[in-house]
Amino acid sequence: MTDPRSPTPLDTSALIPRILARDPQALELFYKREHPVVYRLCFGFLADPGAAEDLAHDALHRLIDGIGSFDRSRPYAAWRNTLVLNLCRDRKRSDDARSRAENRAAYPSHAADPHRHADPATLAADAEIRQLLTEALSLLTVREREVFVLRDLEGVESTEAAAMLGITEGTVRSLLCLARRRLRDALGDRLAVATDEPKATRQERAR
Amino acid sequence: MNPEDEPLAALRDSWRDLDPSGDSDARAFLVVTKLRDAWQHQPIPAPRYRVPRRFASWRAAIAAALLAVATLALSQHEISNPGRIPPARARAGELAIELARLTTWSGTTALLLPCFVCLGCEALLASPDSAVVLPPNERDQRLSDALRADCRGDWSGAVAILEPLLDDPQLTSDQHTRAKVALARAYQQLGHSDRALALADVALARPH
Repeated sequence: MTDPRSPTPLDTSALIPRILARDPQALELFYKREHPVVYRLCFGFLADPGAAEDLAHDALHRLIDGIGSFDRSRPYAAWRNTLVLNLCRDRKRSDDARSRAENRAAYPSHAADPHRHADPATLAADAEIRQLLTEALSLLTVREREVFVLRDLEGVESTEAAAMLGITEGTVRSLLCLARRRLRDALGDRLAVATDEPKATRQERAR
Repeated sequence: MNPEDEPLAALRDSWRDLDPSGDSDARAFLVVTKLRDAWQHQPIPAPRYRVPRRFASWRAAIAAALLAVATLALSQHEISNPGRIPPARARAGELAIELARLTTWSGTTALLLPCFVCLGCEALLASPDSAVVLPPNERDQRLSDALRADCRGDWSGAVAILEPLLDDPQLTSDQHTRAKVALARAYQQLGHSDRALALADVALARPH
């Protein structure tokens, strides 16, 4: 999926030779370009914006450190997504009291948040979006969340998602169905009110 | 097709694959569509350029060890020179602040440091939301300034900052307690034992 916030349309994989040569401009461009998507993946897999903000930085360092081992005959996005996914899984496993305390301390700071000086309406809208996504992601199990983020939110193909997660395509479909139904049941009344569905049908369902 | 609509069309196709029966799950489709829209427009925080965790860990460990040595040294110095400002303590305090700023390893750093820094510093650093790490506003900046003054042995300076701060209605209960502890220490050093004792009730009640 293309990222609308990316600074340039340059293909990330085209930067790899320059990154390997430790070209500072390429490193900066890579960082700026990859940070939004890496953050989103971390947030999606962890369902915790504070932890995602923290882990996104580590993930970008890992990507830069490991880019020499990336097989350039394969899609870059799949390699990146797998690395971020594994990092998030590791983080989940070691998410003890210490890291939770760190996240609590780190998240409210937002010292470098570009929206920090935005108008109150923008801040409120951003907070609402973040809260809605956190709530939705928290409703899902870890496996459902991973599948839902990759398939429905990031638009990754089923085959690719199955390969990243180490499961079959059938399992991807099952988990996705479960995730969608769970979200529908929990958030349907709030998010699906503006539907084209006939009013009578909605009333019938409500009964 | 509008490029903006392409992901939505892909989602709709994938939905049909999964639910060929049609619109039985139209409601779920709407929910997911809205979540996807929120996902694509969510605020992305600016990158946090900081020392990676793995470096922060050993940096913190080494600095903590250095601070321990410094504290031991200053203890000896204090015993032999009562009433003097121990330079090792001042240096230890500065080191602690620099470490916290450098690593932004806020929670754990803040929890580690109190063992190695003076009571006044402990008073301000003990909380994971300590302003010393990333001062987000003027009030927290003043707490930070007070700590620096304390570390330098500038007791009058610390009092001048902390006294008016105690009247700040925006101060949280925890910050209020920590400011009182730091103030008690400054008064003690200035020889105002009565005021120090009045404030020290809080300090003595605090688990150390």
